[in-house]
Amino acid sequence: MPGKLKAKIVAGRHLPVMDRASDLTDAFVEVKFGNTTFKTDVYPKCLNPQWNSEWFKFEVDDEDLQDEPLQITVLDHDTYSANDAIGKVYIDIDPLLCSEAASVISGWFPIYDTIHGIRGEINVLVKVDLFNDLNRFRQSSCGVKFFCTTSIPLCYRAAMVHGFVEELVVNEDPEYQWIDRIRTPRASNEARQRLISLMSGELQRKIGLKVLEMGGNAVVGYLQCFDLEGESGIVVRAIGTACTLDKLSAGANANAYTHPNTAPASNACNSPSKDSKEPVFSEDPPTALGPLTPLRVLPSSSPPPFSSSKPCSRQSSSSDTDLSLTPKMGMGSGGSVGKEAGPLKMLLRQQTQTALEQREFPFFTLTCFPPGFLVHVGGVVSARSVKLLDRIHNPDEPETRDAWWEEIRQEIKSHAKALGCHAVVGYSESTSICEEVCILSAAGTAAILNPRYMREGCLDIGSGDHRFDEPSPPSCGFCHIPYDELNMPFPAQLTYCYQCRRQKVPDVLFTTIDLPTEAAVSGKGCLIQARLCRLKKKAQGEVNATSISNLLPFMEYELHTQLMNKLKLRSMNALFGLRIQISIGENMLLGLASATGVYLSALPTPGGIQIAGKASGDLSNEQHVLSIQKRINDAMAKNKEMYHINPPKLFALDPEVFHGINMELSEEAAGSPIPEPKQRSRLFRSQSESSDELSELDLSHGKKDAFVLEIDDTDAVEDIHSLLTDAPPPAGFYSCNTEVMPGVYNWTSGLQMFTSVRVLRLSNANLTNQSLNKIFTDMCENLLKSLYFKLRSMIPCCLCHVNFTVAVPEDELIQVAVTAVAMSFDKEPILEKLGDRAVFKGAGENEDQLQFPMELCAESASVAISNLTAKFTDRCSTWLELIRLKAHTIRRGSVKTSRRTQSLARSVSSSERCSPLPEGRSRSLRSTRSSGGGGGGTAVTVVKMTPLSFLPGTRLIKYLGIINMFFIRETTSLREEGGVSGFLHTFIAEVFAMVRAHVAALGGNAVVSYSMKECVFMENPNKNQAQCLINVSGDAVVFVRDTDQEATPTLIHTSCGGTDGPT
Amino acid sequence: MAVELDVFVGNTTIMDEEVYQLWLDGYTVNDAVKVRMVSEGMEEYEASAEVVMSDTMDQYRTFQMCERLLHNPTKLANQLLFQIPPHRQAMLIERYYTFDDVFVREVLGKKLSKGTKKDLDDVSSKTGITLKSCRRQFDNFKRVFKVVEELKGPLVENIRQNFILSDKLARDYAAIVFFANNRFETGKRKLQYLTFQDFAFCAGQLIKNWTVGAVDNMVEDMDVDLDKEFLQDLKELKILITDKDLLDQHKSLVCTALRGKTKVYTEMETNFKNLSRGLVNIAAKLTNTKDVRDFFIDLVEKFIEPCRSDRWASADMRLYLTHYTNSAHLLDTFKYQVVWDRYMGVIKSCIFKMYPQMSTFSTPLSGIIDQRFVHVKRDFGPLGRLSIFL
Repeated sequence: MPGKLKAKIVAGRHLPVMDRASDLTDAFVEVKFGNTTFKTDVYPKCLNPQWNSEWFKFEVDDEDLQDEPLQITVLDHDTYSANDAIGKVYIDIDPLLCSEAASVISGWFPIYDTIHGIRGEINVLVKVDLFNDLNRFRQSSCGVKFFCTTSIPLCYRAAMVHGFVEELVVNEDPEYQWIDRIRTPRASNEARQRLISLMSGELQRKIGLKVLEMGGNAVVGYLQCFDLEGESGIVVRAIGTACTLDKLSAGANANAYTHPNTAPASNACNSPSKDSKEPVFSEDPPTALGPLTPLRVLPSSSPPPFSSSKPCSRQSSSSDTDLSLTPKMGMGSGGSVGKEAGPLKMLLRQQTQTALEQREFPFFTLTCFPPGFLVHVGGVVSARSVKLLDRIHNPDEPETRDAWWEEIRQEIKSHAKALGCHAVVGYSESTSICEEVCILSAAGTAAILNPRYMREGCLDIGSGDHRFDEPSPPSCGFCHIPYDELNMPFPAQLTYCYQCRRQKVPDVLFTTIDLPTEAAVSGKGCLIQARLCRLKKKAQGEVNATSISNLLPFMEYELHTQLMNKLKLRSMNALFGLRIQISIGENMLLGLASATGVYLSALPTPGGIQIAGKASGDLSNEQHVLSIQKRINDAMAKNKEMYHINPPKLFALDPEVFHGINMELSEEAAGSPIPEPKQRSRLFRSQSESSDELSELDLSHGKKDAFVLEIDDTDAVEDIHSLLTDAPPPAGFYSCNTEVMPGVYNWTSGLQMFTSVRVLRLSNANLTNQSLNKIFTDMCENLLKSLYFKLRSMIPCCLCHVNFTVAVPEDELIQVAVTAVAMSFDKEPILEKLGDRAVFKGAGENEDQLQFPMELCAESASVAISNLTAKFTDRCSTWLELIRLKAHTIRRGSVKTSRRTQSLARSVSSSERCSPLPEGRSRSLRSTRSSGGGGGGTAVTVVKMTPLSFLPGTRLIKYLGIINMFFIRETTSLREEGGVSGFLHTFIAEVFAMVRAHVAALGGNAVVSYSMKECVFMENPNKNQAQCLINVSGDAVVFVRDTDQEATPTLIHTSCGGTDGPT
Repeated sequence: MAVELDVFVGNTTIMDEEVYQLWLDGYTVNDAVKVRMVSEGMEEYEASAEVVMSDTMDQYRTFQMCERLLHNPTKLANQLLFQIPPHRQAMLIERYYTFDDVFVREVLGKKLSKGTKKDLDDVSSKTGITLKSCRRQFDNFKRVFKVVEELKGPLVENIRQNFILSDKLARDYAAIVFFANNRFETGKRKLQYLTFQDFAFCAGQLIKNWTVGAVDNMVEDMDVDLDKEFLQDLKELKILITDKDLLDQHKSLVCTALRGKTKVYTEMETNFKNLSRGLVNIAAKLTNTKDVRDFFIDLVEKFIEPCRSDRWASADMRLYLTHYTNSAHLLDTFKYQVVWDRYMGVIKSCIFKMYPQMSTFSTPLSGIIDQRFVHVKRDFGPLGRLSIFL
């Protein structure tokens, strides 16, 4: 009996008219949890009823609390006939079970009906009282935190990364049960929604149990998917990375909050931990040995021995309850690990000591790691398997599906081994189902992880560095090959690393992870897509499965070739965030590979693409070849310019210098816009030193083998055409499918998350592979063009985390769905920052600020003169300009006040602006910024959504829990709802609205790591019907603006709760 | 190869002001695309017709989905379906309720009924405004009318609060409601030269001074119905023209004051009785609903036209009316000073507004109509094509 759930129905508004005679509604509410139902009174004849009900109390097991949603049904009372349902609200109460997250759910929820969509709103209050339960054999896993984010969440520190967790549950699909023939579509949809909600609750609970077994307290990179297998049932499966997370106390290093991409990780070290950890590990108190139940190790809510350390006193009060109740290790002492956590730590170390070899699957769903965690990256490993679905006979033992995945994971593991790697990072799994054939896919990046971190299982790089005083691994380290040079798993050209010159690197690198923060990159990145269609004969059963599995390797090969060609065309040498999706339809297969191409400075400059014609000396043909060659060369030159790829010759020759500069630049972005004078001088010194070493370095590596494309058949012609048809994004736009665009740092807070869906009907029955490819490619290209056009007011802007999903919903339909976020950025970050800073600083400090450029001005001039290519990044150039500007002002000797500096900076920045809409842009930016802070002012809390793990210009101060919602919408009046587009448009808007409402009710103001996992659309225009299923997920968070003072977090929170609270 | 479905949904609802205006103006998607393709700035984005089409369709759909909320603007602020920053909401509402002066001129004072709505296609072809836009504007009038009809309190304030409109627009709607309620005749040829703004000004005057609300501000319909008691009292003013002595006395007082101050003195002297009779008769007849409707016609026929045919400059007319009003106070036997002031105050400002300007003085009335009725294409302002996101 460990929990009491309490719910109160406060009011409704904007209800639909249910009684045509009076144009009013007699509404009442049913509140259901498990098998218990309560009802409110009928509030007669009102569209804005005020029920203000009593607290409905449900006494339930925490197992149920985890599995079941709270179900709220709004009905219209009818004296003579059955009551009409207006709609429902499902509230997932999981966030309330974790004391660190939300304490109350309170706010306006859209009342949703699967046939009519949103019909008014209802204000609800929900609370949970949890009782202590020390039963070790319990089935619940309350308190395990779940994160969709595929990196360590920003306000946490990973004390331990335990590894891969997976689980799946299966059930019959209500839509295919016999009862579905006699019930209404509404009842069927609701049964399905409820079942899936239950299943994902159960799944989460089971995963939580596994995490507790491993000794963790959180799942990061949680990825849950539904497989609607039709007749054979529904499979809900999830994978994630189990971790032990410590919450960073609010007072801790502010940098820790900011995302590594906006603020490349500076050493976020907690000095107290350095001192306290060391002795603890050597002590090895034998008394602590025992069953590894976290609860045992946490008996003391008494102040830990290190009561002098600040976080302890702060946390002891807040964590009393959860310490005894939930298995959060080491959190009693926050950042500084106290003595009582020592033994536990030791135990965990023992457990993980055997490191990755013993783990069944050394997989990590994370895509972003602290610097130094990744030692080497081998390359992408993937496995696919085609299966024939059969009915799941016993839902309690989903062994077949488990076995399938097991098989695939083993394959991935062996692939990784072949690459000389012991781990797979950026791991993900997916399926594509058509009738009874199913493709299971898994992909990841083979890697070698730092054995030190594995031994200790500790991701806390900061303290690690301090303890061992090792030089941090070179930033180019991850590019170095992990496999044996003489025994390469695949043909690759190896060269010595362009940065350190010590290790071998491949000529290109493909990965599924995000660009490591420490990586040195030249220029910007760009979204690269390979698209492919293959026709297939219609077939049944095994024949069908065989033909599909025969096609797969060819598709993979072609996609790979396309990616490679496009990468070369852009003069880039590495792909990050690679995601290959293969979808099956009845008569075709679609393949779509997306990745972000970059130029890694450590890897060799890619050679050109050379076109070779047929051997015959046909003159016209030769001319044709020449013209194509010219076009390709032009395109490459253009791309180089567009993405600012200037292979930094000088730096490449002296990697130390380049590394040094790059790191410093990134540090600069972190916090202080103006680096300390000390750093600055170091930078210049190292540059001057470099000139001496130039001559010694090996210059012979300039000869590149060109990539040869032979035009000897139609396929090759097609390849080349598809190469050249990809239009570059318009000026001012960049795009990538990773967390952020390499080479762009100065984000503004302007962002727009969106989902776009297109369905194309192929009218022509006898299509060839080629024409189909063209259609598919054009479809994707046009979609991108539309996005650029729509978002043109955000220029300069970058589409980040562009996520394409393709599907073949019917015979002749191709569906493409995109979710991404458009983020605008400033072109002259430092100048503006300087301005801001100057305003805030007092006059006294100003003197100091102006001092160091004075010292540097001579040097900076020499930098400029020595033609040290002020261009290798935008940042560098603006930065140098800043120095020049400052030096200039000081030479004039006229600048004494901050105002002057600012105005000068401004005038320069405006004159240098080169965006197409300079004035209008800046104005709209500013207005966006000023209005963005609002939300307290209006009745509805503004909730931001982003597929990224962070929000630029803000700090995430709290994670409120995972959002995982599944909706079905159906209509029998498609035309009246504006056709298929109108129907889907409304539905997607409704899904967004419901996500926002849930986040706001939890007290949050944003969703990060948002994704739309599923969008299944079916239509039958002849019957005027359509149905759509959408599954979305993300992490609800509370953020504060960087500029806000420390006090604001609480303010924001109360205002969020307050505005949505009962009125 | 047909695009079966094409949607774009942003977390913050994207609305392009230019497209919004085209939608409000009743352009079809195809026409809107044509307009957009030639509008400036499009080459910059190398936007193909296909892309613009897709965008326009999306926007139109969004507007259609929003329209339901725009009918009830207070809902827009606390609905959850669209996340729209407050300043954008204000823009959406203001634009939605903005009307074309040319259009409102056609229906001003008419009953806001189904019958009038049926005739909108005539209005549409006459004004060149699309039927769709005419219908929206007409429905807006009707909606505002219905909502404020039953409300207590000041009309302008009620409109502003229930429809979250700017003060200016709320005042214009108050005028429309007031005209519709009293069914003032504005469509006659003789009144054609007057713009909506002229009438709106007069309506403001009438609301402020002649309605029930002018004396008691907490009754229903206070700003919509004229003060019956006051209208009754107006009958007493008849003494000014029926009593021969009073009339002569009044005339001599006015003439004394005017002598030497105007070029048209003779005309004023000769016309005095005629004009005075005209104005007082208007006052006396206002108890009849029919005569209330003809109020503006009467003002033109009984006062403005005679003056114009005598070529009074508007300064002359102002001088005359001022002295005409003030002199009445000097009449010993005239006891209805308060009613007189309340009446003449409004009449004066209405006539000042309605009197044709000097520059257009020599041209015939029909000429004035053409000049004033030029349909000015709306300006999108500096932020025209920019959609702002949060």
